[in-house]
Amino acid sequence: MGKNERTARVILEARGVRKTFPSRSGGEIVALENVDLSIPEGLTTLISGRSGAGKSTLLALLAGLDHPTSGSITFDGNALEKLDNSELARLRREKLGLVFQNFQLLPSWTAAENVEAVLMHSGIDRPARMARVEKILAELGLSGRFDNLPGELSVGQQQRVALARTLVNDPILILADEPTGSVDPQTAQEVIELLMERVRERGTTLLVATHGTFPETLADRQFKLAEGKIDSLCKES
Amino acid sequence: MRELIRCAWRELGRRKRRAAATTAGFALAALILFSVGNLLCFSRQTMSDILYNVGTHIIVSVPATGSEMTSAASGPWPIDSLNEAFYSEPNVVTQLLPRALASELAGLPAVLCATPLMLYRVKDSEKGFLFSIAGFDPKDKIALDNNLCSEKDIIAGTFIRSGDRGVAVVTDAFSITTGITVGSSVKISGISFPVIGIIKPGINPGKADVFLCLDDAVSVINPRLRQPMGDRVNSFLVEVKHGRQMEEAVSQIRGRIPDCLVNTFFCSVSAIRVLGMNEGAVWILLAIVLVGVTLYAMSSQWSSIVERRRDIGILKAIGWSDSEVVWQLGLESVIQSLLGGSIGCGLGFFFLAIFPVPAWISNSFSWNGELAGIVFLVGIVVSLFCGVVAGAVPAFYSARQTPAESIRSK
Repeated sequence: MGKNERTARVILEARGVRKTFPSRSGGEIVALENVDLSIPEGLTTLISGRSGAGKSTLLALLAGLDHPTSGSITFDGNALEKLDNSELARLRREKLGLVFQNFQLLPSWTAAENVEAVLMHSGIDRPARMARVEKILAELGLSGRFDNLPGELSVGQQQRVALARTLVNDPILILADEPTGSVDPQTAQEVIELLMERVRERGTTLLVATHGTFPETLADRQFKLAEGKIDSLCKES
Repeated sequence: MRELIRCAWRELGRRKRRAAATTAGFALAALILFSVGNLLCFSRQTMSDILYNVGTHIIVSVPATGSEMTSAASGPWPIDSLNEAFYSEPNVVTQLLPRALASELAGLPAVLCATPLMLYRVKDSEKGFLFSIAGFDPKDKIALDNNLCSEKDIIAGTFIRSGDRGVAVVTDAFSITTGITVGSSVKISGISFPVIGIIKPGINPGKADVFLCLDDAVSVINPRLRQPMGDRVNSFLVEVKHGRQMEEAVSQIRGRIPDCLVNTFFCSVSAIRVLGMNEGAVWILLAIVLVGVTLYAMSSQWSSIVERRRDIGILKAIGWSDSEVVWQLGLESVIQSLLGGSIGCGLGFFFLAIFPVPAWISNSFSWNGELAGIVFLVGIVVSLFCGVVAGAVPAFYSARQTPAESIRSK
């Protein structure tokens, strides 16, 4: 299947998305303004912008972690604003992989437990679940680290655990928020290679928000976000 | 559910100090609840004992009207109607009623038992002084006990037993004024009754100077009447089932004998009020303890959730639903409360085994500290309830936040 065929379907779409937060002075802070975005299936899309441009807010809205003030978001045919919290949770559990800025591992859970958490309520029995967890951790080079707490792992290992957690449910879309923003360049390179390898293997759609640490050359499409608005489409393959 | 329990247990293990502190709070509450529960059992039992001694006794009679007394040329009325009379209270002259009424009264729902009683005021034919006779059936001990007199009132000699005939018991006051003692005799209507005992009755509704078996009393009273009284008596001793049922019993008796005079001290009313205040105080204490512990547990659980707010946000972000988060947090609280409740009640039993109820308490009241398993069960159930309440509020608050809000929190 060629790339053009794969891009025929839009897997994620934002229309007129606006997000504001209340300010201390009683007014409002506009984080996103009239964002329109279409993410085709199977491609890697980069959203770049400076810190505070609204990238993390946009990713949180696209993942259904927060609600837009106005506008609509459709993921895999589901209008997120029409789903209740449990349906959103189910969607995230079954179809979405999230890579957070600063990894966001649960500090008191072991590496295996952090990864297992995604599958905990998926209806898979524990032995099968643990088999999947151990397999993905082993694939990411963490065979001997199942029972280590995140604090006992190096930064690179922590990011790999986070990556394992993202990939363990075999998502159709991965949203990555500054996936290499907190690691040294060498580790960043390793993480990017691991992520891209899995994405290519599985044909997973990847949307990366970055302020410049993720190589633009790996992206099929690139948008620029500035002051809460999609400024331009910088690149389209 | 098994997964959630496993996860909740694991989470508690990760926060050992906080979990231990919260569990200890529940244990303390359960221990207090256990103690207060026992206090309540003790209070109930002593209340029952006290009410039995002060407030469940009644004498029932029907006052005679003036026309009956003056116009009766015949009938079972005293020949010397100026001095002698059937009475229930010193100045209340009464009618005669069928003895069989006793069993009807005993059958009333609020009545424990009833027995016929004869009270008659006599004028001594030799010395001219007035005294009173009580005729009763000695076998009806419960009805007699605090209503008239019983073996416990004996200060010299013995009390009249069931089957005794031709003997008398007198009060200490009568003994002093007449010089009659145990071994001497009292003469009524020409019949001498050896005095076998002297009593000092308490403040009972039924009062007399000389106590005889009912049939003996009938045999000495009949010659003093215009006509024999037949199978009749002038009053009934009634024992109510419980002090709380006094008014109910009186109402039922009045329903059966509309014109009756009910003679009782109604001590139960004030006793119930005072003892009720005592029990009320125990309930208030219990409520304060439970509210305090629930707030403590809620505060502890709240702190735990605030600490883990970001973690909860992450779990929701990776696909945990609100209900799964609520269950997880609620189960943590339930486990702690169940554990704490069991430990507290267990400690209560342990302390009770080590420090048994003092003899003066178990001798004074019919309570020896033996506990029903229900106290243990109630302790755990109440502890569990507090745990659910304490866990539910923070859990629902946490579930209401969006994952993004939770993850953003410091």
